[in-house]
Amino acid sequence: MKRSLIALFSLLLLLSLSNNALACACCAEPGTYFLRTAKPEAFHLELLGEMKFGPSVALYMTEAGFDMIKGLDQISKESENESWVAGSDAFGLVASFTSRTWKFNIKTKTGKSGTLTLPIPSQMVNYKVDAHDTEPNREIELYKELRFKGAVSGGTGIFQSGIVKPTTYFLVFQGRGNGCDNSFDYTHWRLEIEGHKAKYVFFGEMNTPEP
Amino acid sequence: MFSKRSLIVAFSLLVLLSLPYNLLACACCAEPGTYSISTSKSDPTTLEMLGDMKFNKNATLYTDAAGFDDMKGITFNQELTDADQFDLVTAFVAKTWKFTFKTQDGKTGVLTLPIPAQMLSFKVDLHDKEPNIDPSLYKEFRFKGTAANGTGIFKGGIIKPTSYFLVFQGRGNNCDNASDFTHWRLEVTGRKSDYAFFGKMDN
Repeated sequence: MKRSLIALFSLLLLLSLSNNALACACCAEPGTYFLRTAKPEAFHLELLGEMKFGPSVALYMTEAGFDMIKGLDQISKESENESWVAGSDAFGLVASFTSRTWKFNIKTKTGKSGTLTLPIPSQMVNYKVDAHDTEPNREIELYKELRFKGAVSGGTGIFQSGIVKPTTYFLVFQGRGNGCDNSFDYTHWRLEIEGHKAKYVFFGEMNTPEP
Repeated sequence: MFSKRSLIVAFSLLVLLSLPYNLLACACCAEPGTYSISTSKSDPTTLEMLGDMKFNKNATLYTDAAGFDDMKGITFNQELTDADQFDLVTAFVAKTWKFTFKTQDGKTGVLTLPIPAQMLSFKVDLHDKEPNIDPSLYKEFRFKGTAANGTGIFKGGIIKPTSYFLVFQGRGNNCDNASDFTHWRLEVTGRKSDYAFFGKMDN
């Protein structure tokens, strides 16, 4: 009897709460638009540490080909070979995020490689938007980005000649999800390098498993 | 044996086939991995495009889990008008937007928003297309400016400085057309204002 009364009271309490208070805490509302610049918090650092990069990389190419690219002379020479294809798996990648620094080791199919060292900047941008592409009556799936603009601290191998101070990087993680951030939300990455002697972009997929 | 016209067609075809592949690529097509953020002055082409844009006649007041609690600067009877029941009439004339909102009980308010000196264009490949299909970029035109005036339901909230953030959202290729933009969002913030509306475009 006492248990039934408690259950009934709980139910009444629940029903008395407003609709809004019952809303899912992470659910995004239609029309969500969030754009904030902030210091990377411990939560973000943990998230970045959990993220796993896919094994392959593409070099971003426009119609201009290598004409608009600087700082990748060895790759440009390799591309003159007829067997070279600028596809999504043109390069191999091993990337890590440790001690607040990303290391991107990129390798060509002929075995030439280089490492870019990218310390995390003091500020990051968190962008989340309802792109209005969710099916009606489904929970809104936001398009989201984590953006980092910083200084490249080192480049070796195929990147060495292009990395002179100041050379900057712009790393973006792209994904979909609700109002809360999870490492597995981010499915793609894009890295832009720009400086006196460098101008190129790599992009690829993430491979972070869902728990 | 061959007519002059056939020879011209055959010659044109040969010239076309001899062009490098890159030159044949579509000028407006986006490449996989495209990502562009650029700030610039609104040029005449953009102004013409903004003039061509048509807003849908319905607008929704953005609400999150807090409902109307965190909003300020807009006065209307919440029992008579739901968040998604605002009527809207807009105009873009003389480099100024005028948004006229109307509640279900007939109360109106006009926001006057002069275009700012700079705008931001954002285009990104969301990686949501099948392989071997040209990416359809997600794109935004963003305008951050100062609200010049507010009347009716907005009157009490528009004191200087009150700013606005107007975003047009859409999909398309590297070239911009008014028809690419399918949605809009307007955020108004100031000491006495904090609210956002959004809706569809009818381009």
